[in-house]
Amino acid sequence: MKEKKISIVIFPGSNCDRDLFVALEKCLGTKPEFIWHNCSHVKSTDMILIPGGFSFGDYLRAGTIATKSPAIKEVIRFSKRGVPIIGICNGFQILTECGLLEGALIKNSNQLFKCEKVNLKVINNKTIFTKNYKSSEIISLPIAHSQGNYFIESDNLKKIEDNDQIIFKYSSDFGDVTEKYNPNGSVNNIAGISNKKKNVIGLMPHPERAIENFHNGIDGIKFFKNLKDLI
Amino acid sequence: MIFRVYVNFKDGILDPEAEAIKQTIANMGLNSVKNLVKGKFFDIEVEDKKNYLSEIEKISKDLLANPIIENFKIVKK
Amino acid sequence: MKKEITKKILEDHNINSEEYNMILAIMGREPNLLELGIFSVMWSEHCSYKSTKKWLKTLPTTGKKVVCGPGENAGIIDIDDNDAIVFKMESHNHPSFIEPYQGAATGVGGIMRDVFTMGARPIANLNSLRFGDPKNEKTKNLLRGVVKGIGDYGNCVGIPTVGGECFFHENYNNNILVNAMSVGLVKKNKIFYSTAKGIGNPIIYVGSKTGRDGIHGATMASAEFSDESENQRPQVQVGDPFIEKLLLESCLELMNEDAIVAIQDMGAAGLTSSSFEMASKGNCGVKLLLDKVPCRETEMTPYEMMLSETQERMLMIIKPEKKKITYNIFQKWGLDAVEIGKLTDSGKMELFYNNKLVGTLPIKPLADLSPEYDRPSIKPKKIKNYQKKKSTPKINLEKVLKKILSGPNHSSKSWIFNQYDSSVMGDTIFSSEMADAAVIRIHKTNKAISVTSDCNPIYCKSDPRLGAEIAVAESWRNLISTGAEPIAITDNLNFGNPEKKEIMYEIKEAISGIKKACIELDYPVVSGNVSLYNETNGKSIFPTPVIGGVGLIKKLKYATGFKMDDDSSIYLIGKTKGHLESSLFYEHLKIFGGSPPKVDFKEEKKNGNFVKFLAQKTELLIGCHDISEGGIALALAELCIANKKGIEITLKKKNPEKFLFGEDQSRYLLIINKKKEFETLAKKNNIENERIGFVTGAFLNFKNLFSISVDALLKLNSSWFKGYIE
Repeated sequence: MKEKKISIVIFPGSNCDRDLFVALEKCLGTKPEFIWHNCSHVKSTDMILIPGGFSFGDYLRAGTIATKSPAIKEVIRFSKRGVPIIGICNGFQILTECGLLEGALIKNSNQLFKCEKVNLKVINNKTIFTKNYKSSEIISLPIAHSQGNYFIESDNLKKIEDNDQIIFKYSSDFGDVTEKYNPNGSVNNIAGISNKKKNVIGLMPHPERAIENFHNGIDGIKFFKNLKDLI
Repeated sequence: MIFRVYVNFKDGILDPEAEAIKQTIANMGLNSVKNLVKGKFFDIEVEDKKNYLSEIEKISKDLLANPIIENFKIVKK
Repeated sequence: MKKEITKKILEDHNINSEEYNMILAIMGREPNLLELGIFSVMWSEHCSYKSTKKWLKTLPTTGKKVVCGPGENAGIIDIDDNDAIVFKMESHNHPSFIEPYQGAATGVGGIMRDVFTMGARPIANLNSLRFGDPKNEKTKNLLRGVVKGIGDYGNCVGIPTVGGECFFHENYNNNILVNAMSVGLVKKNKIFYSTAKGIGNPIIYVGSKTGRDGIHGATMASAEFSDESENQRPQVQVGDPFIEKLLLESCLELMNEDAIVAIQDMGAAGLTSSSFEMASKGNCGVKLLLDKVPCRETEMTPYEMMLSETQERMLMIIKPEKKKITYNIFQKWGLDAVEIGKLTDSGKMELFYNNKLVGTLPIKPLADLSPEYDRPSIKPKKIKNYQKKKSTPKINLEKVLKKILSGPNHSSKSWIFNQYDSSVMGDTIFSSEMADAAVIRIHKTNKAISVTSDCNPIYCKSDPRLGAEIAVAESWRNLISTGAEPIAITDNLNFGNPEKKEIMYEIKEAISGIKKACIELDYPVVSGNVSLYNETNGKSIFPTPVIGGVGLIKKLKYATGFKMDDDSSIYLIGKTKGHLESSLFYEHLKIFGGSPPKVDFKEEKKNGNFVKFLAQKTELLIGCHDISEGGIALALAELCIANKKGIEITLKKKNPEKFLFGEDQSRYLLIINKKKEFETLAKKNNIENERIGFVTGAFLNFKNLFSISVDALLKLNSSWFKGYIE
């Protein structure tokens, strides 16, 4: 069987591309390929990841300018074919800005960049990305962002809730999803969502920064190992 | 010809920066301010071609403002 | 002909009559305004180190591990396996006071460019900050702006900010200190230097377009503040971290192509100093066509182009046959790259504008004959109100500890460092408040480096020589505590006006203190920066020689932090005499002055080497914390806070305040499980040690004296910033 291909899209200003590469290589044993943002034709791929960072300096709004790069058209094209797409941090912002995911990510409620470890509650463990998690499993991952405050209008919130598109929520060690454990002001503590078809996922926390014994937790390993069946 | 595109948050979206500015004004001892809205504007100079208005609209809608959270308004300067 | 250079112009350029006479001698004629401007920035304190050069030369700068000492963009040390670490610290004090956000941001940008100019990818940033009294009306905004500026810049470029210091004192009310340090990793055979070579080679300008920002920034950093300075905003440079990221990636990409002959970032004094320094090191001449310089604003004059301090620009000498690939790489990254001149054999800098020669300056003489002063100095009078006390009055020690923990200088700085991305790049092992120094893995290897910055300005004010010795020793100790082999330092010397004798005394004393400690500890200075004239309306800052230290942790398993296991023992290493003069404890009692503790370097090395031995050759060491300001009491409290665990301490001493709060040097607290084995080793190595307590429960319990719950410690420690700024 032909070896499956994982792709990482790099924009000018992306800065977690290397970390993501290392994590995928370590957890899945395959080397991803990099796609430069102005690539207008991707021949084939079996999974696309959009890394964190500050694409185009996050100027205008985080992720906006990146959506005008040719590679995003390709991301959209593959997403329609059902290819799994994962956006982490800035990648999540790009996916909302280009319309593959609903809602928007605005400035943290206290206006400050925030780098810390958070707990996430797995809300939907039935997706292709999360099926190895237990229902309501608590995992812990680092966040590092200033625009991670997830916003969505209440009507649409209801829709994505009803359709089980909310994947992760910020929580306490024991799974309490309350304002106290909301690091950035996100609606209903939302940390990660998927599209309707559940082949596109975006999350603010960084699983690629929780894969080594010396990291502050290793729950990122499981996140990536979950992807094994997809490739 | 120059057009100014104003972009600001839609009603109901919390803008903590505007809140902070409002609070600062109160801290300065000025108490007549009831509400404060923050926004940004872009001055766009265009050549006098026939489709410029629709282009400015496209720029505003697709790039300058995020319709989920922001409104925009185009004004001729 | 009308005399172009008037007295007023000379004053505006900070050039005194003596210096002007030297200029006339070098030029053999009266310079024009452009030429004078170039002299003024090249001979400014900032670029020429004219007040300190004589003393800086006395510092030890060589050693087995030194690859490149001072004089290049940054210092370089060898960390084995063809890997080398490039690092430097630099101040951005004056700009940060005028515009805290941009001042701090561009400080971070500048120091990272110094590092990647040499071919290194930055892997960690640190910063050392000094602010005024928190109650001062300016302090809060300065703090907010500086922290946001540092964070936004480093976060965007994607380099982890892993450590630093933040200290408040009214003495810095009108002169804050913002010292930024960057550490990068390079292959030893892939280092790039700034020596221009090859007559006819093209000079390429890369990066942001030149604007009028920061014109005379270098001379601003060389003059005292007056109240007017705050109105000098137009001079402030604006940072663009996105362009920096593109410059970083494109330069590193080009460096793989064997295209670059020499490279230098356009920092202070921009195009002038970068082109001069490269040409002067290579004994070349330079011909610049200023029409080619990419400009952001219209009608910029040659004077403005040469003196602009627009950020995120690089100057490089390229092999002619590699021009095409050079342009291709920069185009890929969307950056301006333009040939603006060539190297010549004239030995001169020739500036052309609109096909006219607008300035000619001899390069070597301008560099070699730059002023070097032996400024007079005098020992300042001792602080008067200090009286030696036979015994301290009965004091509630619990209250003192609580006050220290909840005060601005020793409360948790999480409000600050949570704004910094400390985990990007995935190699951070320990960042702030997890260990005595930050620890960063060398990517994809089994080794790490340890980095720290230190200075206690209270000690330095009391005794600049001893204060500087302690700053070096403490940085050494911080590295040791993490299991590292300390290798070298960078120094950032912040002082007042060197034209005042008392200040010059402080400078000379501090430098000799650094020298002594570096020689004793075999810990050379490989890079550094001097910031003078940190005074406002005649009031100077405390002498603040900040030391940035770097060490190597040969195997990841040696890395040691503040970790404590339940029931493990706490050992105190080193001699405890109970030195309270200049201590935090006395500060609390409003007893000022007196001497800082002495450093016995024999003892320092003995204890340090023992800790290193434990970390590297045994499995005994669970955690380690060195003892500094606040003594044993504060160190223990910090351990409890970091681990959320209690400690029980048995006090046998007569004067508990001396035991708990004394600031004697060369001491460590060690967390040990296997008592017997440890004690045998300590005895064998003749190490003074005492088991003072053990890890247990949920209280920091000084038996028969007082006890504070860990929850209370955590609360106290996090309360100050919350109340002040959140």
